[in-house]
Amino acid sequence: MIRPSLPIIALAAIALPAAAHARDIAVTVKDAGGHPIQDAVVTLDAPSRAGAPGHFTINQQHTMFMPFVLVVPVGSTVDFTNLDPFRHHVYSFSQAKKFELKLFGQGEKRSVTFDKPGIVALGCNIHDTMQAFVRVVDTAFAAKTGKDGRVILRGAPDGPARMTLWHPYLRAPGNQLAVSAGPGNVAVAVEVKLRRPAPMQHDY
Amino acid sequence: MWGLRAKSAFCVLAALSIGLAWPTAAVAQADDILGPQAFDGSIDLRASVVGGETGWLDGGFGKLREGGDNREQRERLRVAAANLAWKPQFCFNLAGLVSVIHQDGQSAPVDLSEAFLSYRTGPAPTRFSGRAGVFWPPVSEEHSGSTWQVTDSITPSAVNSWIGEEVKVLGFEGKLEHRLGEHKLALTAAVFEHDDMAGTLLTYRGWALHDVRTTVWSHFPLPPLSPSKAPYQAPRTDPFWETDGRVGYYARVDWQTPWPLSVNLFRYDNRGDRVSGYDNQTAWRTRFWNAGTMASLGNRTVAKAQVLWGNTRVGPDTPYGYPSDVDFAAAYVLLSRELGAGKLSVRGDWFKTHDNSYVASDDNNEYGWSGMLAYKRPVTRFADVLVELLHVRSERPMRLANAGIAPRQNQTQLQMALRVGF
Repeated sequence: MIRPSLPIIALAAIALPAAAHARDIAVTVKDAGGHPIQDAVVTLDAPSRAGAPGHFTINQQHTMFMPFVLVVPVGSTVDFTNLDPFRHHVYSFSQAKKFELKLFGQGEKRSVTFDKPGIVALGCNIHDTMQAFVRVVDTAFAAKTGKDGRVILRGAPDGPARMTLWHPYLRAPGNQLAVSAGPGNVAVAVEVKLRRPAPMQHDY
Repeated sequence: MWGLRAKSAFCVLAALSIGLAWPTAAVAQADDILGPQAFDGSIDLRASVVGGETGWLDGGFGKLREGGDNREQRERLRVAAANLAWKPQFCFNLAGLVSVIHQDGQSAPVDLSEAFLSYRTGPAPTRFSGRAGVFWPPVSEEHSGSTWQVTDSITPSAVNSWIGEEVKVLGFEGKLEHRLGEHKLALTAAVFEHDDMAGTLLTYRGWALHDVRTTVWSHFPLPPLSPSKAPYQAPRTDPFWETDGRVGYYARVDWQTPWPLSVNLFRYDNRGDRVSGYDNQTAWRTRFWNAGTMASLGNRTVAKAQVLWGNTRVGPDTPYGYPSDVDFAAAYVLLSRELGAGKLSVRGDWFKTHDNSYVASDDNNEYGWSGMLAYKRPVTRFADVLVELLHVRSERPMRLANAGIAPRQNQTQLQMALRVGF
């Protein structure tokens, strides 16, 4: 299941020796209508050790990947667990990680280690509607927004900050945009426009 | 005819598919082939109220699945359809589909709907897929799934009603997909047989709106024919017959844009020779184009549209034209909006045929439009209820000449369906 960014956040708190100057940056992402945007990944553009590699899970259930977006430190391993009563065939041909997990059935698990930072788009070769993303990061200061559209980067170094906000459907070049924040504990509100995914073509 | 030649062709195509896939095939698990997940089934319990002219399935000129009873309103309650599909996944790149259907009032109580093997290369930015067997060409934006059912309403548009009744093939189809950044392009091409009768219904009955799908051995009645045509045309059509042995083709281009919009263009030509016949049914030469689009409008609304146009003709080329030579065109726009757990759909249809020959003795001109409002809502995990109001207005001179009723007819149909599936 989802292992949200708590380990990353916790690591962030101890990542920098300048803990005395650490502060929290809260980012809230909404659309023009004020609706919170879930699964937006906020990454602090500041020198930082990467978080310790961890072990994460992406389930396949009800012909969907859960979670839709997963943030993991580089070197982490993700278990793909099939909870559906039929087989899946998970793959990615993204530059950051190319892999293929040929048909595996209910209750079976396959693992992949993500050893390069970047964005890994996932699909299922049997069920074209299934889609998900793994954001592999080399910083301790990265996390994704929850259902309330909010994320907190805890223990970030003080001073003016530049951040990158990414969402797979963000209407911006590379699906990302720059966000800045002032010093101290700050709360930043970002308004974004999402691209609606094209309706799926019918299968034949 | 579903002859030996056709069966042989199917076997060859199937063998080719398996041969193509075998080198990369992994050992299948029994559950993928015979387990519960390898089967889909559904039953459509239907209640309907309709008045007006006699329906085309009862030998009239009516445009809907059912018509009135001597122009009186008639209520019906029945099992409209039962579908069963077997969809084995032999390995990660080789699958199959065999579906059978029962449709109320059809010539074959249970019949084969589709049967094909499909192959797909492994995941990559460019990939090939193919299928061989009996299937519908990829035209309809409204049908989907292993049992090829209408997704947003009970009754498909005039365009896709015709695809469902007259455009089913025995063929081999290949598809090449390529991702170009956020664009996705696909090129599909196929060769086929067993669609020589496409155009018969469109000419002698005109367009219609109904959810009856043609099957391998099914046949449909024709409305009363003109005295000049009756000696040369059986009072029925068998849509899946092959009589001339000529191979037809179709091709399709798809572009899925980075925006919430996809477009496609489709071309079909059955290359019928117009003269080969069997049992007073002759191969028609039918060609058409179809342009389709699908777009998301907001988070909960999807728009679909298709326009289809072409020509069908039969018989030798005479100094006065072909014995039957009809241009046809139809289009629709469908808007579907999610409302809570349910979905509300509204659709407008337009259709027309233009007869190019012998109009004085056999006038197959037609013009019409239709409006539909439908609501679909799940009632349990395994059942949906659909309510649909459909009105159609059409003008066809042949009604007066061959059936003695007014050329212009209006018909309104209210239907409720309970689709129970597994």
